[in-house]
Amino acid sequence: MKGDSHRSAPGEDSLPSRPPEASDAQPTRFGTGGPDAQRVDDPAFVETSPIARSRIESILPWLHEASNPYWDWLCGSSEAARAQLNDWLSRPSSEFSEKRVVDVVDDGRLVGGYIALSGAELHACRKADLLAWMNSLRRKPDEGVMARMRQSRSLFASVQENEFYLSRLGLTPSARGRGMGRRLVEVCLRQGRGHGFHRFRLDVCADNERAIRLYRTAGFEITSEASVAGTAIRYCSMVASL
Amino acid sequence: MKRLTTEDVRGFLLEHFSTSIAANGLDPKTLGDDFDLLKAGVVDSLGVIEMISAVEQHFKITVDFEPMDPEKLTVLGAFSGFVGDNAVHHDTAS
Repeated sequence: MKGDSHRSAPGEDSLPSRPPEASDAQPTRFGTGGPDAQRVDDPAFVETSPIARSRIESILPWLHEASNPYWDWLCGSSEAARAQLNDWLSRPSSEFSEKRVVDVVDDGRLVGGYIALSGAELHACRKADLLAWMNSLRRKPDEGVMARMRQSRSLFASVQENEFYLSRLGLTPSARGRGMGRRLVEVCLRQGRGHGFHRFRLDVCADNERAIRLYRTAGFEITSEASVAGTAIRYCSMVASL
Repeated sequence: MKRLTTEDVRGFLLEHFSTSIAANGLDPKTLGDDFDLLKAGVVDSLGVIEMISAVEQHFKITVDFEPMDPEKLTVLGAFSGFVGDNAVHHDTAS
């Protein structure tokens, strides 16, 4: 949808400064949560985490950071943004459902992850999220949110159904600088290719130079850039054809 | 009072979005009930909220969208039918 209201933006410091090393690999696992979530085909790193409230609480910090600066601005405060993300993590129909999160588990701790989905699935999820948010705003009107939605209407380019969309990617501070971000992107691309996709899309904060460098290394190129007038919020749309 | 019908809502939407529909190279008369306004680019996500406000203001109704299937939110026939079935007219609301 044109002017979609939520996009990926890995925190500037959330990405690795050096390539992965062999020592990183042993205790690290990548995998999706939920009993019916599809496992990622990465024999070296796959692990399926149990659904639990504590898992959502572990995901929330990196997901929140990966959603900024846009999400805090849109919701009006950091607290409101976290509350909204927390709600959507719990909803199976949401773009941000914890079932869609591919975890990075390091030494038994969840230290980051990513959310990626097909363009068609993204559109269905965003309808569900939109309806849930609209119902919430009708119960408790917030003109500020509506005004900011209008203000940022053209910030994000639309996602096509033949694209695999990296919605969010992030790591907790302790996991940064160890090559995990790069490996996460590789796992995501492999997941998409495994589903038959050759075109990949993401949106990233234009000020996040390290993230943009990482995505360029993985084959992404910037295809458009937009900003919210009167704010410092700028996002780039990136595409990879692999 | 005349009950609001699916066709009333459908007709209003096609008129309301006639410019956007034409800009997409489409003829409103040929659009089927399965036409998805969002997928076709006639509305964006904010436009969906604005569409609901416009329908409610035009017909002077309120609709509870809580029970709606999200997948049908932007489908022309399904949305029109849902609004027709669930509209509460302001002058009859208690």
